Amino acid sequence: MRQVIGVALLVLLAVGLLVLPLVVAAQSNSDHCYDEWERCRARAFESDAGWFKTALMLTICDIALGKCLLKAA
Amino acid sequence: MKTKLNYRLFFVAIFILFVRFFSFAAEKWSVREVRAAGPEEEKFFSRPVDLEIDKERVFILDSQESTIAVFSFEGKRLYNIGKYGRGPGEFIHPADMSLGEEEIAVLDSEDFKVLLFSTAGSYKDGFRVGFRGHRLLRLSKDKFMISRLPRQKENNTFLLYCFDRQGKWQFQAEKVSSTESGAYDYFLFQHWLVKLEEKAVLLKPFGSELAIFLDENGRRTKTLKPTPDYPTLWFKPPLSRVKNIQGLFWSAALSGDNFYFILPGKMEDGDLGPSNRVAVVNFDGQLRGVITFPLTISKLAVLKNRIFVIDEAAQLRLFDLFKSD
Repeated sequence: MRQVIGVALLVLLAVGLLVLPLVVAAQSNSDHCYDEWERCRARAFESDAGWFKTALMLTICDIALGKCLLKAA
Repeated sequence: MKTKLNYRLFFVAIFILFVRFFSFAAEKWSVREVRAAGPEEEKFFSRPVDLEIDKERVFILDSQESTIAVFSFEGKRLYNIGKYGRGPGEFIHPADMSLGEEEIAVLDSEDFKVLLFSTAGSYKDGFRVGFRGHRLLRLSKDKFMISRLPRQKENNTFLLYCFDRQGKWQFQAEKVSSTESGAYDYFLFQHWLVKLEEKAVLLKPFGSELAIFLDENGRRTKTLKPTPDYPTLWFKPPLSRVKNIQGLFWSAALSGDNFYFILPGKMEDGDLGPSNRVAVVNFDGQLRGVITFPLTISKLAVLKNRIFVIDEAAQLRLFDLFKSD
């Protein structure tokens, strides 16, 4: 019984060690996506384009964010 | 006897209406351009994002050139403040600036920091804010308000954050929740910050709230809504599920006892943008006058009768204000 628990814990530890870096990488990738999205949004605001064009640029930023998050997942 | 009394009442009513109409009607003001000193080519900018004035100088923040160009009131270019970089006194992407007594604060939205310079141009100090700021307001020597727009789908966050000179967080204000659309958020949360007696006033270009007065802790004390005579522009944004939006101004400034709002108008390409008209509104929300310029202006700063503007070609121009006969 002890052996089974030991093996199970080892398996869990191995899986954890394997999965954790992937989770961290995915997290940092999604952070990168949001960072890029904020940068895109800031550029749209300061472009001094009209309200419709600004709204369009912001929509493009949203689409780019969606694509980036899909890639990161 | 009764008919005579009715006539009298009628004339009194007409007189009262006449007095009310002329005392509340917005005046039409116009401007005359003043020839600026110095070479013309020095007055063009790559991407001017802010224009401010003190008692003797004009400051223009150019985010593309990563510098603040300083001019005399006559329009002569004097010197620059700051440059591109990550070192002390350098910024990567200056998004906004705020002028105080002998000090100018600059928000670097790329390096997440605020830099403080003397108005003469020497670097003094700075602090980190830990997020990408949108607008900056220097409320006093030790109080700085920085706004941050919410991220997509971010709920119950805040629009305004206040820091002291060491970068220590003081308070946050104006709770907001974002939508799924960055474009819709733009119409919900876009704003300007101006200072009135060391307190912030939040100016909103879209919606039904024109100006929100805040106390020293960021709590709302008064909200101005546009009066019926305010030249509002209703429009349908290119967004599904969003109906008409009330467009109130393109950009704004505060001087003396008035707000100056550059009114929105139709641009050559059919988009909605800045116009050649400026609405002057007092702190009670009453429309005092409308200034008409000979050209479209995107930014302005006002000191008594002198108006400094950035035109559509990103050029600094000077005007004198006078009331029409």
